[in-house]
Amino acid sequence: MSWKPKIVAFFCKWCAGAAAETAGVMRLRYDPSVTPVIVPCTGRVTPSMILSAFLNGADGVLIGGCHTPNDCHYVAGNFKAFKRVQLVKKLLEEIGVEPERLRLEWISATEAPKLVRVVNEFTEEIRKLGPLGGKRA
Amino acid sequence: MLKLAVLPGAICGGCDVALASLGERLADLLRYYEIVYWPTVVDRKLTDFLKLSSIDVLVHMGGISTEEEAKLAREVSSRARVKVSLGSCSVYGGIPGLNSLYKPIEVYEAIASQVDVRSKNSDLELPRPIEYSAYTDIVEPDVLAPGCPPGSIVLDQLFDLLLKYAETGRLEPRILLLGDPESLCNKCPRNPKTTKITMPGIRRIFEVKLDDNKCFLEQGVLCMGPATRAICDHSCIKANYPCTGCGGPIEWGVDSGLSHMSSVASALMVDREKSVLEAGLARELDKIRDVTGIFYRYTLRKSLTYKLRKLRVGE
Repeated sequence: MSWKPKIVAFFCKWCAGAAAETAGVMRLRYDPSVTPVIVPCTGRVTPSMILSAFLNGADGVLIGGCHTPNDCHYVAGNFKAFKRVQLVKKLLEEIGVEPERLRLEWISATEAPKLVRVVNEFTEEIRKLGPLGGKRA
Repeated sequence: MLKLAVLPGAICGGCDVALASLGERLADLLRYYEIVYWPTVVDRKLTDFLKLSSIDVLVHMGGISTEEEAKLAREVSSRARVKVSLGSCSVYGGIPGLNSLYKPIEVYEAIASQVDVRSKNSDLELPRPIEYSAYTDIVEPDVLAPGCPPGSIVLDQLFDLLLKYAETGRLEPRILLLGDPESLCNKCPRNPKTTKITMPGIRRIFEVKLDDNKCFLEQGVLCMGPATRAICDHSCIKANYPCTGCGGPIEWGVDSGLSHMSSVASALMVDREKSVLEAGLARELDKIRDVTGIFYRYTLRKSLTYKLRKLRVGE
């Protein structure tokens, strides 16, 4: 059986999550390797949620939030997410995991086509990187 | 008389000194306990010690880095009624736990290239290095006493607990993490008493003239206090040095390195996020070199990050 990437996507409910809904309404198709998890705000996504996703079988983690500087429903949750992701990327690099496996994108509620493009691009990138675990294939 | 043994694994000696700093209180303990083994303090040969079929309290210091240490720790622990894991190496892996990012042979070769590790005497065989682990990875202790070295709160609690055990013969609850179940910041003398701490940027300790009354984070210096268990009387902070997180996570089982990262993200330049934007934040965060070494100085061996590394290299 050929290997298929598994991707966990944390979408904030106001922007990227709403864009995913819009994509559904618009009958846009995106790669089924992505499992979206809707969170109240990307500022809620902790580094341990990201690492737990990787440890539980994800080959890539995508985080979608509201555009900076002023779209966040909670004023600045997206900036907190940005800083956390920056630090986790540095950590991943130090332990020998490609930081590209973690991606943060700002996607507004109206940008369903962008969501589809990002998801497909990211899936393709993870497919090229291969499975995360040494023995998993 | 109860039998008390102090067994060192891979130690630097700091825990020995910390335990010895109980000072006159050790004499109080001697009313109930006989020290049957403690290489730094009493003269007792290991072979004699191993003849004892049971001991009441075992204090294990340090992590496990050789086959011999692992064998001894397992063997002695199986004979002990109460097992105390003393010091961050023993509980969380400590600083040597950082070598978990490398293969044991790589670590051994790095050491062998700097110091002479051959035995001068052909009869002697050096203990074989194994993958480093915390004492808590191979044995399940009853009492966890973290700190590098264990701080005054932990030592006071350990002393009280040993006395109480001697008097009542009971230990409750079974697994006990010493220290106060709160963040070190809670009682910090520099606690700014605001709901929002703002880090002006990331500064190295030599880049700022440190104000001895102001919160380190508010001066831009990384301090691990927010996500560290209160195990000490803020001795580093009182000496104008930021907390490095030796007390480990606030609750057992929490990944403190990730909590530290999260707390930095919540505080860094919160007043200027919308003017410096992502590029400005990234520039500041890039000043943090060695993320693992700073945020996981004592707890890497027990972290999700360690597990992810293992998953990555396929072990």
